[in-house]
Amino acid sequence: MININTNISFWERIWNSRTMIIDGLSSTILVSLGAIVLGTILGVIIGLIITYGNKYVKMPFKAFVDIVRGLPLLVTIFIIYYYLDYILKSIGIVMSPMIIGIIALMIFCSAQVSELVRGALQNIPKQQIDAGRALGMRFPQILKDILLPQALVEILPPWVNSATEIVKGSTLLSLVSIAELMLVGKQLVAKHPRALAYYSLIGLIYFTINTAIELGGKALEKKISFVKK
Amino acid sequence: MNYTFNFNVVFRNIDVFLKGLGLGLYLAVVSLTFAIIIGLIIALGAVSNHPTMKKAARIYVTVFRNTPLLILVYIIYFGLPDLGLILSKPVAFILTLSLYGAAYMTEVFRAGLESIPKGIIEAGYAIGLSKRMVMLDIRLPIMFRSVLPSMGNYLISLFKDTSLAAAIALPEITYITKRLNVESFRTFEVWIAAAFLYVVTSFLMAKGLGLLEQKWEIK
Amino acid sequence: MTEPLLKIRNLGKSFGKVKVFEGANLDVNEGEVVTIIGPSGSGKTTLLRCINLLEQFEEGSILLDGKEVGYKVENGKRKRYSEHVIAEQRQMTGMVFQQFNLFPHMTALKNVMLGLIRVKKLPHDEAEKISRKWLERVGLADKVDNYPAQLSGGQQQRVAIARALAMNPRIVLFDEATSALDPELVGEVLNVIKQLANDGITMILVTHEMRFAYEVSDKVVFMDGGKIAAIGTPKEIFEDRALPRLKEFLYNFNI
Repeated sequence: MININTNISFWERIWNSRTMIIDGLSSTILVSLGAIVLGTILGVIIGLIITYGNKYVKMPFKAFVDIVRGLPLLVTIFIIYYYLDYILKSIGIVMSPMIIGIIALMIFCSAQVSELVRGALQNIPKQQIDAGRALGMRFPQILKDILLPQALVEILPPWVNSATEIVKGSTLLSLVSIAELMLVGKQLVAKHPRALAYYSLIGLIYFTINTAIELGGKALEKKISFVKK
Repeated sequence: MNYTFNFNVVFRNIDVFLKGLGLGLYLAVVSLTFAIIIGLIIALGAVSNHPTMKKAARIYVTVFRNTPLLILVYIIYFGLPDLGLILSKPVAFILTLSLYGAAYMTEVFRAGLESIPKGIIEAGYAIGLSKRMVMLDIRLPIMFRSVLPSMGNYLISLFKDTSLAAAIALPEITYITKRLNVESFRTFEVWIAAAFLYVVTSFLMAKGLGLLEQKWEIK
Repeated sequence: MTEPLLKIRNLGKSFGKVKVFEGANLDVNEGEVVTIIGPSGSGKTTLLRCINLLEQFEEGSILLDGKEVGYKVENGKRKRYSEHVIAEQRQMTGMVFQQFNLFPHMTALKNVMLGLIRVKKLPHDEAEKISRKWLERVGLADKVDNYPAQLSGGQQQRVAIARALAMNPRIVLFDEATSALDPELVGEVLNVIKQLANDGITMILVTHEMRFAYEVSDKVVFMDGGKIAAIGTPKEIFEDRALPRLKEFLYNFNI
């Protein structure tokens, strides 16, 4: 076993690399946030189409959701990355790898969110729509004032779970060399082979982010359900 | 854009693809088995009356559910050797996936145990059964029957998670597809093949589980 | 005169600051049928559940067959017996619950056999024989291999009665055994209970079935607001109704 004898301790190295680490962390947060926000918006739209659309309109969207949910996230990332890369190159557009990463995670997120939305909306009794119609409301209004508020309470906890899945999934972007926190970890280990220490530290950072999201979600839940009562 | 599809690469390597599928299924099934065993033990701690065991269970679940699987794989495969523990790739991956899955199964088992009507448990005590007998003869059998569908669905989820084995060069579907991509430059074709395998396998597993559920319902 | 089988002395229970019941005194002799009646919240179910230690109690004592049950006094301090001992003591009582509480994953036969095999440690064949005998006695010989989900409420409750009695307890406790049943099924269960009473089984019933209580009881206990307000024969309680509260309560039952 090679004994690496250096004068610089583990924590000193961490301090020296702090810019790298902070860059990686901000990339991770940026990519995750982008994917979650865009993915949720897209997922809500797709979910609405699948729940209320007519038979032919919803077919391609159902197929999209079924395929994406049947794929591992890693495969989705590889496919989007390689396919987009090829297609864009042949058109002559250069897209930053991070944007591609956001797109891949966004697609994954949208498929999950659409299922949540569909499930929650289908649980609301049809009579609620009838009641709205009887009052003279049109469907978009019924959606806004009656259906979505009720669905929101049911969607929130699993949505928080999806958000943490996206943060965890962002680590997979390192496997297509997109610069985020996981990749920084690998680089640190390459320079100074203390795998256990570095990966545990990086793992702790992700754990903290996700736990913060979890706690934030619980606090939000309390606020919403109180209002709804 | 000019691209002519040529699926020869896929057809020439069908055996490699299928071996990768087999490995993926193997990793998933073995990991689920260990996840169930470990998860059950932790769940028993979670529903016990010992505050320390309850806290330890909660900590375990939180740590393994909020940390990315990829990092856990790296910690176990690359990190443990720092402590002198060197594991082979399959063992390291199965260990990781088992510990990760155990956190999920703990929650499933805990919810299953807590959802049993208290009256049924009281009836067990009323005829003089001890705590251990009530757990073994009444609570666990009822719980297992109710969580069977969740366990089946989680197997499908774990199967998709085996794609991460590619990160440590285990030759399951994702890894060999990536390798074929590099070797043949037939990007579209090989990844369509990989996607097809995953989606169809997941679909068949779901259908199979549905049929099993129906069979048991009637009984 | 022999000693009463069950002696309840000054029993009291609270949930935190709320007193559920206090100062309960009751004797039950072997072969007696005692019913406890009273308005909801009077503490009657909780009192019953103290007898087989499903509820803890802070004051007083319960003696079953001369032995102090549930708690002992050690060095001047009151301590609950260990789980092990309590499980043994529960063998002296049997309970039939309002919600039946049959084990859903076992057939009627297995439901009755479980206690005999696991607690009384009887060999399989003997346990089966006893269980079949009891299921026949409650009129369900043809349903022994059915699961609870396949049985009506009345049938489930009769299995529950067989399950309690197969263990050969000294006293059987009935906690509103017919309250959760559809009206047309109540009769079959009451009939079984009446037969058991005629056979000399010692039982305590918490019930709202007033006519049944009148017909079957040797002793009626009226509980109100956490206290035993009256104990008497059915005639004394239902016909003479000395207490105004008792009059008020029974008025609601059109008796």
